[in-house]
Amino acid sequence: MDTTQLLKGVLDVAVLAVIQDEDGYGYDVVRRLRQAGLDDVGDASVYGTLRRLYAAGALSTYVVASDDGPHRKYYGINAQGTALLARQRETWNLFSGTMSRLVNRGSAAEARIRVIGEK
Amino acid sequence: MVGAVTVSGRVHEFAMAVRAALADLPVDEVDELTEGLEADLADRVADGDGDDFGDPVEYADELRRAAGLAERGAIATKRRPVDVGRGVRDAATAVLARIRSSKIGAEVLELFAVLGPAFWLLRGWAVYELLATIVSNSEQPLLPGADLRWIPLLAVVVCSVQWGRGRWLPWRWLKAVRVLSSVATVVAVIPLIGIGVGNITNDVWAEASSSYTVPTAQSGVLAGGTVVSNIFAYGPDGKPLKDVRLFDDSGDPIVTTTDPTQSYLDDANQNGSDTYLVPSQAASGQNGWDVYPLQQASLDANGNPVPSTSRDVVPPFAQIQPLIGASVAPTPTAAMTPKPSAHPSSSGR
Repeated sequence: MDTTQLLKGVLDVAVLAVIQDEDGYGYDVVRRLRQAGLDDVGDASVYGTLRRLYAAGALSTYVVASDDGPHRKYYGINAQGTALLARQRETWNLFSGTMSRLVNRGSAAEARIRVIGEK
Repeated sequence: MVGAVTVSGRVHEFAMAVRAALADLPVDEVDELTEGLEADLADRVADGDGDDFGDPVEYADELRRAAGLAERGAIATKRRPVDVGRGVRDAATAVLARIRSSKIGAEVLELFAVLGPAFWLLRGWAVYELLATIVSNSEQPLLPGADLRWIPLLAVVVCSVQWGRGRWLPWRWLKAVRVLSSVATVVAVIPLIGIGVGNITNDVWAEASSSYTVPTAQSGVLAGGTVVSNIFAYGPDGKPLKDVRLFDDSGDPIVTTTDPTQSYLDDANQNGSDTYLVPSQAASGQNGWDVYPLQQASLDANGNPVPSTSRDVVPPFAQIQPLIGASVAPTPTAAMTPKPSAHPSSSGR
């Protein structure tokens, strides 16, 4: 199964989770998502998602000046974003639980359920 | 390091291509989406992902899709106006920056800024003049005369001043109107002033012409601009002549009255006296008005001269310098009443 297609639906909650962990700038978030195991995530998708979440009011931004490098625009989660993340996490858990049970009925993999973010 | 230069060049190139693919979106939107792009791409390279970023157009598509913006081509119609406006604004900003950087340029720009309000007034006047010319299809004076046209002029001037202050602009297109009117002012102000001044000189000329009345050729005598009522002739001996008839070079008799049919003439040079000049009763041509000097008479109740009251008018001089070689009569004629005055100068009138 092509994970990029799957990812499109849940990139919001993935990005929110990463940001909630720690504020980050564009490529930093991409890096952390990939380190979490989402190798196929495209950086353009992440940047666009960050922009959309900010426009929706779930994220705040601030600029960090750097002496020898470019200024970085950092994203941080706010109260609205935290609430959104909680809702989406719940939705995901329900959905993924249902899907897992559905597709694993009678399979050997039923015992192992991978959750995003778990190393 | 040559490698680094090449890589950053490629990063820049890719970022520009991505922005180009997003050019149909509003400027601020594109900036927000791509302001960290170069830095993020550089990070990607630094992480060892190589510098092959793929197709910038696809990248831009993915970017705008994830951001929830319209797909490429969905808002194609807006493209040209945005581009032109942005291009003009960018060019203007660049030119301004260069002017400001030179000392003279900065001074000149400051001068324009100080003259701003004066220009707003001028713009209001110019727009009014242009509109008035178009509406009335005629040339306009510099300022309206004492009539209601002052009201629209003041209204337009006030509007221009408010626009200069940045007020009274509830709609975006009014800003374009403001710019157009400023340009029109600069272009048209000299011709408008020229036309206005030209009309002033025309008016002055017309008034001067109307007050200058050319005397009719047939009757009336002007000497040096003053009306002549009576003519006194003197012979070579310096003595006054009577019953003289004069003719001009066309053969027309010289007549001081403008209306030979009238029975008397107000003597313009006898201030306030109630004598009236009357034509000779002995003449047949011009009703007697061509015989000089004219006599004076009193008028009856109906305004008609009474012949029995006719008498000679006192001439200006009893005697003038005889001409060289003329014979002089020893005594004055009994009919003349000499005026008790010194000898006149020979220059006469």
